[in-house]
Amino acid sequence: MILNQIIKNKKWYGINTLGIGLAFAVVLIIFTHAQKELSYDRFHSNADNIYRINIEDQQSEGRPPVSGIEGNLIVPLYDKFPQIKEVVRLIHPENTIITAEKNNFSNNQLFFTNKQFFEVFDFKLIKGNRESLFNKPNQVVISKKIALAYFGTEEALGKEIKIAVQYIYAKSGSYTVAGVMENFPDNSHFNAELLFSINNNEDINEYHTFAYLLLEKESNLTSLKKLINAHWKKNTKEGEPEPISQLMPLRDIHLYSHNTDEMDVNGSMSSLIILIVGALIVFLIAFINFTNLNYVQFITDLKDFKIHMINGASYSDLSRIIITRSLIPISFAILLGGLIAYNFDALSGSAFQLNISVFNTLWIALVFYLVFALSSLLPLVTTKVSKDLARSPYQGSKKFVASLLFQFMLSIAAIITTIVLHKQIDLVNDLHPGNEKSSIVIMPDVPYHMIQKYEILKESCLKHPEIRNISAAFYKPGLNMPYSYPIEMEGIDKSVEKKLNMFSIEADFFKLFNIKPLAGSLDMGITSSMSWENIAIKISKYNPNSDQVLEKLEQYNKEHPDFQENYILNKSALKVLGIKNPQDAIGKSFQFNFMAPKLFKKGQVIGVIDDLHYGDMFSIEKPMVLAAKKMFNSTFIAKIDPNRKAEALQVLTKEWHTLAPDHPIKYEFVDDLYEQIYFNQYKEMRALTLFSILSIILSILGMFALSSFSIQHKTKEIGIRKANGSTSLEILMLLIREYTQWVVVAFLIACPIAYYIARDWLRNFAYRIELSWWIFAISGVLALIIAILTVSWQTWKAATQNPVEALKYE
Amino acid sequence: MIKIENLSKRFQTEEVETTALNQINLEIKEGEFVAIMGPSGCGKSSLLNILGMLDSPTSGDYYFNDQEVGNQKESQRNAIRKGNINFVFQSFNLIDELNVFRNVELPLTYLNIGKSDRKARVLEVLDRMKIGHRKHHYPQQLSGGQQQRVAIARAVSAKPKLLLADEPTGNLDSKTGLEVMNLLSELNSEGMTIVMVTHSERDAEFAHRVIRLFDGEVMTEKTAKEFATINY
Repeated sequence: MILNQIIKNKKWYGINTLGIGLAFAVVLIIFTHAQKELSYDRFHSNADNIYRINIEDQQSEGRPPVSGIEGNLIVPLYDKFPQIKEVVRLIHPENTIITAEKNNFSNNQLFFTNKQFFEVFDFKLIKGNRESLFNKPNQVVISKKIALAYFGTEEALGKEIKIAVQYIYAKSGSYTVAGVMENFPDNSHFNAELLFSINNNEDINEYHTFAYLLLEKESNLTSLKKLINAHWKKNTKEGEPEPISQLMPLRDIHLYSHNTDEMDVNGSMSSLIILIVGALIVFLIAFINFTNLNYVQFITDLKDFKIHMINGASYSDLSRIIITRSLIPISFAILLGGLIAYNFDALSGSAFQLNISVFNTLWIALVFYLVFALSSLLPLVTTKVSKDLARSPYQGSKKFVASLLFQFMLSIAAIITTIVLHKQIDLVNDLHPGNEKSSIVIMPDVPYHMIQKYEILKESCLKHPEIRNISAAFYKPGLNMPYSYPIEMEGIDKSVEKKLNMFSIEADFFKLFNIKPLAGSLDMGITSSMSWENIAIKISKYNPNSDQVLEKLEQYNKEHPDFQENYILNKSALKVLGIKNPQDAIGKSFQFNFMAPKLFKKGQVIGVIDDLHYGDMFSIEKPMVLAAKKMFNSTFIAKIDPNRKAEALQVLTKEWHTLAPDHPIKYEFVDDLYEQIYFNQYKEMRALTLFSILSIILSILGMFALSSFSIQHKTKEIGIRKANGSTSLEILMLLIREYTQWVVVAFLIACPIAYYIARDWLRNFAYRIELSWWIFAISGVLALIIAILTVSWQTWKAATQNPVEALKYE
Repeated sequence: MIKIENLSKRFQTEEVETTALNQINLEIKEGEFVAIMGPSGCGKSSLLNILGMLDSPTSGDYYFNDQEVGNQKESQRNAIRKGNINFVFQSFNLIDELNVFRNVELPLTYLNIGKSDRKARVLEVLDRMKIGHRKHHYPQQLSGGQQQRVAIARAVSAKPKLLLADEPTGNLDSKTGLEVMNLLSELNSEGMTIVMVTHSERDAEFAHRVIRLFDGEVMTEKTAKEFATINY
């Protein structure tokens, strides 16, 4: 009997199974994802009282705070404020090479921290004594994963680990393994694999530090912030900006922090909301389809239900029949949805790295069973079954108007916002420099000894045809350096201090990224040698004002007579300087004061470029001065043959290894780098695209089923119309109009909704696309075409039928 | 068994009000076989639906076994109907997805009768209707006469006190129709009360009494004998 039912109503079962199945998959996936996102850092027993102290970025308006702070700002936090119970500092040196058991390892998940780390945080220790950790100097705690990688199955406790190469934190040396900890859980906003000991008295204050405060319960944050700011203000040197603190709850870091130098890629609450709303939409559309189809099915079966009632069935008997019948598509759907959800990572290329629990699956399945099974009773509740057997309560498509409207409104809004997101991501990619971003390789955080060997590496790499070009720059694409420095320029009023951001590049940078000048030339000419730079910085740093030093520097300059500083400005810099015509800047003498007074010699502006858009697009372009200073170029860039990527990467690795055998090469493609920057935006775009497609598919299915039902009931009307002289085309138009008019109304409602959502989302970016009318028009036309095709499919058959056949019906 | 007093049924649509039954008074005794006749739209089916408790009257009273049922709630009417009343229709109204056995079993399943008892009763009634050999067939595999025999089998399988038949031979050829009428007659002779709506004068002859309706009112009430003498 059940099989008979399925075969007879295969359309109904098919559409519902697919619809509910997709909804189940989406709900299960998004719920699991949301549960994880919301659980970040909550596993610490102190989670409610841990705060990270951030610094507001005062240099550029609208930019988020900086996560880390200078070490010397932390020192007073130890004992000056009674609300602060403990302070944990984490220093995250990049690019560290570690030697263990005579093997070298490159590790980026390494932190220096103080003893309080283990008191404030609950990360689980497997081996070692928590209380005595870091009581002695030079201790290290490693994760289970690292213990296995470095020492295999041998006991790791007591083993030596050496820090061989260090970039920002100069504290190298030998450390003893004092503890092994469980690998950090996925829902921690940072992942440490090695924790090296520092003590609170150490002079490590010049390093960028993440500082976590354990506060007394129910501390007054506002007053604490005020106290800290006042203390810092008191100790700020005149003329320097006063640091302003921001206390970010530990629990909020993952979803709410969009700080400039986060420890890891964070999530975002707005992404999560988009995902949840998207899942709700898919669920709603599936639910609407189910209730509509269920109603349609109920009407079709009404005669049978009446027969059941005549033969003694009560309402509860009928309810049982209806619920039992609905359990079939729900069960199939849950199987299908479960299958999709459990394989979602494989299908989507680990979009969420889901770990779906059986518990979640079961209770969500139960909710689905309850919601859909109970809603299948709606038609029974609203219809008088036992009334006259000959009467049928069918009222044409009118009953479904609201649901059709709603479904298509959601679908159209989803299409519009999807197009907007795609266009914006395209714009961002176009604005960033570099044509074929997938063939530009970035080698970030190059160690100092490798920076010195840059020319050798470049020369040897360029011998291989797979490598098209090699250059270098200050930092990797996507970063925005917040610090600006004073300049002096010929013709610019000196009384008001002008500040620009420094960006150091190597001469081939422009060629590699295909950047053309707006005025002047981009030929950097002869650039300063590294030895000169080193001496300049050394001399001016330690005794900047002594005559002796200046004299020595003069003398050193004479030894490098050909070298003259060349500066290139970007368009935003011209704006700051009040220069309208780029040509006017060319040839003007220019002095830049970066880090040390004599590091940048007086020189001239040789060129002007358009805004580079090397950093992220969340804030407007910085006014920049570009100069060639080799010692700062710690990011190497290679342009490779896009058709021979593998060979090119082999060449880079081989040549690098020849020069730095102890320091493994690290590289990323530019397109991947930018994708990481816009991780949340890409995620939102992909999720929205998926939701649009799903909601459209489900809406089409729903409309298909409804229109086929309605046409079935119109067979007689069609016959009568044709017998009275109507053509097939006229009938087709009539039937199509019945549905498409509602799509038009849905479009009109969807437009303003989509407009506000899209406008809100675009506010993330400093550079945005125009919300052109055609984006809306295309979406509307698309929905209309979809609706017409869906309805035409069946109407054409009905409309072209022989009227005699049609009149025979019923 | 059935007593109807001043019963009216009106249908309200947006524009017009139609009176299907107007101040009807009627009594039917247990064991009677009554035929209701009249032109299309005279209210025959409305009357049958009210008698079968499928619909409620707009005004007036309907006593079934001395119990007022016309103004009861739907669920109460359903409970009274269960096991006491069943129907035979012109268009058979079998459930296409159920085979002959299951169709006939249907009323028994709602009476909490055990599975083996149900089986015995169904087989018995199928044999009686001479359709036992078709018990595994589906309705669409049967001829019209066979389908109506199944429908009657289903209607009587729970041994109802009242059988309501709405043009039971309307879709059948005259020979098959005669067989069906003989069956009904036989059931009536065993004590089952039957009320039958029909257009067929021949079928009406099987009844003890004929009630003629016109525009929702009872015009004449005659015994079958009187009826026969008038017509022939």
